[in-house]
Amino acid sequence: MSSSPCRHPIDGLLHRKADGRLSPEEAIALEQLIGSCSACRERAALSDWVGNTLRGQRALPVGFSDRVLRRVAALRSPARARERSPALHWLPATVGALAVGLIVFSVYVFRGRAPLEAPHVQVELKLAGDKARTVAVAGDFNGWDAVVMKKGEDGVWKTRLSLPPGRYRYAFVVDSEKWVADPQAATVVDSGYGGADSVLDISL
Amino acid sequence: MGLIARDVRLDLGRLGAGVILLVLVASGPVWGDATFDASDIRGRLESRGFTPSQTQAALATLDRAEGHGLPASALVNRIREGIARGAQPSVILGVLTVRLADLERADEVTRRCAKEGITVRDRDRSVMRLADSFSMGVTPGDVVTVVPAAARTGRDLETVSRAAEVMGRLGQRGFPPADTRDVLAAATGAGWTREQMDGLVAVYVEAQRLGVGRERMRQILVEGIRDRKEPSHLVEDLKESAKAASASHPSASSHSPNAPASGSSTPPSGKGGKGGASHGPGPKVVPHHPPPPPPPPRPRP
Amino acid sequence: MVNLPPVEAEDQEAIRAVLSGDEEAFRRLVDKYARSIFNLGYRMTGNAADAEDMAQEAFLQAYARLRDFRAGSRFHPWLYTIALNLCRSHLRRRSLPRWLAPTREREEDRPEPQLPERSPDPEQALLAREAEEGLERAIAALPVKYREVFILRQSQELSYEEIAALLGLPLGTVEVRLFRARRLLLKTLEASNLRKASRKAK
Repeated sequence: MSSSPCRHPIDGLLHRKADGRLSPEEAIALEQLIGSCSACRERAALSDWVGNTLRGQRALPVGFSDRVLRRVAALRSPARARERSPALHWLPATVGALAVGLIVFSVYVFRGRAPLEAPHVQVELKLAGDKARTVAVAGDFNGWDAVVMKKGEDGVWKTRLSLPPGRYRYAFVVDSEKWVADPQAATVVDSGYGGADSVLDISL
Repeated sequence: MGLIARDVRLDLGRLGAGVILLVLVASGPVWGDATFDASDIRGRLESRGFTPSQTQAALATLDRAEGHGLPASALVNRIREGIARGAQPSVILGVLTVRLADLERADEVTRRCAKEGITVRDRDRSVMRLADSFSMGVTPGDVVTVVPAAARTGRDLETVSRAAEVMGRLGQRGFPPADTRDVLAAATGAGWTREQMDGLVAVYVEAQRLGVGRERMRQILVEGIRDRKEPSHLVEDLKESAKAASASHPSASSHSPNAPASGSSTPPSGKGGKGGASHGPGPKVVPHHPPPPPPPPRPRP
Repeated sequence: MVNLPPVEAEDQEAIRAVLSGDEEAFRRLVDKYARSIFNLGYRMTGNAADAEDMAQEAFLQAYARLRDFRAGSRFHPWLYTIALNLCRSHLRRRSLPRWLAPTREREEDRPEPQLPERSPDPEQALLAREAEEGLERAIAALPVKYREVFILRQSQELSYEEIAALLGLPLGTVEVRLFRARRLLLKTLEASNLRKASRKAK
């Protein structure tokens, strides 16, 4: 097993030498190769050099620990700010309860007429796929529970969505097994799961 | 207040607290989810083979996101996606780790923007957009490059995050953020709209097709944008540059810093674009130049 | 817990302190392991800025998930796993098309050449630095699976068992990957030296 031009079996020996696991016989064999073959000698020297170079540890940038601790402190402070004082004073509590109760009451009553949700935007997603049996779409907007699309006469699969403004990742599922990002999406990102996600960013 | 006995006050206090609690719980669905549904998620994870400690780890990530005021829903979506795509629990946890890190970095950039006086509106969406740009290879340092221009010209966080997104998309097409960030900073400072910034992608692709070198591309675009030129005008400038290059310098490697070169071997021309836009922490780039051919390393004895 | 070696007992103590609210106790863990995590990042990503970025993230993640860390298991490998995941995702995103060479670091970010202590001959220093850059490029050219094992062994000096446990691989696989990594690296270095020598000869 050799990859060097001289075809001597030096790779295995250098490998064991790098781990300090050469047997006495192997050590002798290595010496012989180095003594007799210039290509082997070069490779052995290179291997030693690599080992020595990588052993050196680079110094840590100054102030690293301080920077980390500062960020750790920042992690904690939002939580601290949210801690409520354990002793609730009774007067503000009851007044607060009444006020909130009033608001909730009015919202429940008037819900149908004055929706708190933002108006939705109509979006159409398409995928050309004449040969596909089924095409579905899964994304942040449907909890990644794929919804089957309809194939038009032009061979293009379509679906209409009504979504509040926001940023949504999604992908198409072809024939229930092949995940495909939307080729028409402006932004495509790595999903982290082996394929890509398309991104839908809608505003009013 | 002295008229009401102390224990009555305490009872009223407890009653008040209880009512508030009830109201807040009941009003959750009306005001929208402030939190994620931990028990729902736990159920889904366990039915997908997550061990108890893996489930705990996943929920811990969600807790942390929420604790920092980051959109935990973004992480929940990654869980749902992982499950839908049939990923192993350890892979899903890996994705959560990375996504949380990106969101935290995005949050820091956002805080930096706010400190510079940049208006923060629709914070969650901009944070997600920034985090996505990080997953496309943009670094916080790259984004910070456009901050001074944005602050100076009264642009908002959304603009900064969209500039970062364009940097990411350009990076995916082979134009690294280190080269494009000065151009995006110029565009931000020149008041370019979102659509115009999106259009930069086509400009870069065209420039590449014409064979304009990377450093030359950067110079032409930065100067042109500052001179308030339109994208079509910029493409004209690039065409002229490409023509000049092939006319006067037939060989690929030229030594004059201002001569445009074709392909990827650009002559050194010093550190990139200083004019105006200050670099964020850790600017990395000197444009690529071919190293002088050194002799083979003499191994140390 | 009584029988833990002193190094790990220290870690468990620090973790206990952090969980009871002593943030500064976390500094003990950072001071102890920062250098090795930073070097892991440096060897994997090839530049100091990304390495520091990654190392900071790794410690923050560790802090955030400390509550779920199983008491009694070792902190360092757990921290390593977090760091490795961050490195892997960083490398995935940073892969650009082949025709683009990686951009150069700033002067200040480059490593000190590993020369013995003597007055540096400027030409020697330059050669050494260029040789190290060649090594970094060759390592960067290794497939990620080989690169990880190689760096954990050569730069971090972990044992085969530690590497196997960290990466969740059988010992045999670790050995094979390491062998292939070393062989591939040497071939790459030899090939690039050959190119440089022939260019110089012209």
